[in-house]
Amino acid sequence: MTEPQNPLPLTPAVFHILLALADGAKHGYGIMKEVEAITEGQIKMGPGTLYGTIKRLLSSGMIEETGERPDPALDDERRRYYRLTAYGGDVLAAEARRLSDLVLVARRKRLIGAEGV
Amino acid sequence: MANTASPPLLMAAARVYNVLLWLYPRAHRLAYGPPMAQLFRDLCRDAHQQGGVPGLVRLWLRTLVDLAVSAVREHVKSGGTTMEDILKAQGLVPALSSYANGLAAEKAFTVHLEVEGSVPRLRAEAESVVLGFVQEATANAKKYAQADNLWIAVRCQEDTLSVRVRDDGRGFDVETLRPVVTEADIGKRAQSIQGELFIKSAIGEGTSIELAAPLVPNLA
Repeated sequence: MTEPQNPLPLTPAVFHILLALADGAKHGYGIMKEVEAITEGQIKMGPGTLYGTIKRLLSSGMIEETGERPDPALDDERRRYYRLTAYGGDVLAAEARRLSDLVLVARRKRLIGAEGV
Repeated sequence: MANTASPPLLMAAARVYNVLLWLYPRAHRLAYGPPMAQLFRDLCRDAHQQGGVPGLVRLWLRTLVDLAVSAVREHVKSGGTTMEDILKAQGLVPALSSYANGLAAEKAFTVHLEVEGSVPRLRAEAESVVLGFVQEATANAKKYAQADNLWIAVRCQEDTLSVRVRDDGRGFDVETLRPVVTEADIGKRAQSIQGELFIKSAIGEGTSIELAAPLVPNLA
């Protein structure tokens, strides 16, 4: 089995897409809106970047397409939903720990305070 | 005016975007063109609702850059990364996933990849044999089965790896099919990793070809 540390560090697009999927399956538009929300609008991916990254995440086994539709009544059935695989979750957690360790280093060097400011 | 819906403008934007999708490699366009176009329509609607025509123009400027950069990236990646590269770097499941995506993009049939259990890394030769088995079995299904669906199922249980390619196509007389398959490359591949082939087929009921091989001595 590929170790979750092997693909680290993740690119910002990969990290944000995996993070957007951490709390459940989403379609492309849902992922894009979630990424915009969690980055407070700092990252706005275009369709090309989003689906190119999704393609590579599918190939690497970090995400998978799912037939389950969280809310079919509110949805266009042509939309494709994606969710994290167990491996993708492990990679995301490993990257989050790596970033967290870097933040600790930044705190020790007094670049940021305890609240991250 | 800024927040008034303007379907003709949005429809024209979507049409232009659909034309620009031809910048991408064919396989990528077939697999991801429809959801990209859908997403762009959603973004146009949002941009127009929030910023009117200037909002739409800003979206177009961002999208053109995204299109150019991602289309070049897809051309470079599609020319540089082979299935063997993925197999070597990441193992069997990512390689099969990539293969399944490619098959799905061809739209010959709907492809389902099912993985059960944690699949360990095998010796490079064994992984290559398993991928080759799947490629040959699916190529045969594409050529002869006339199927709507194809399932690639990988299962790792205790000391055995099992890979099954099944279709819901026209099926064959299994007694005729078995010697043909066993004598073909697919049978030789199985023998090279001490594997066994299990073939099930019946007229009108599809075909299933399974390769079961011991993990030892095939583990990396």
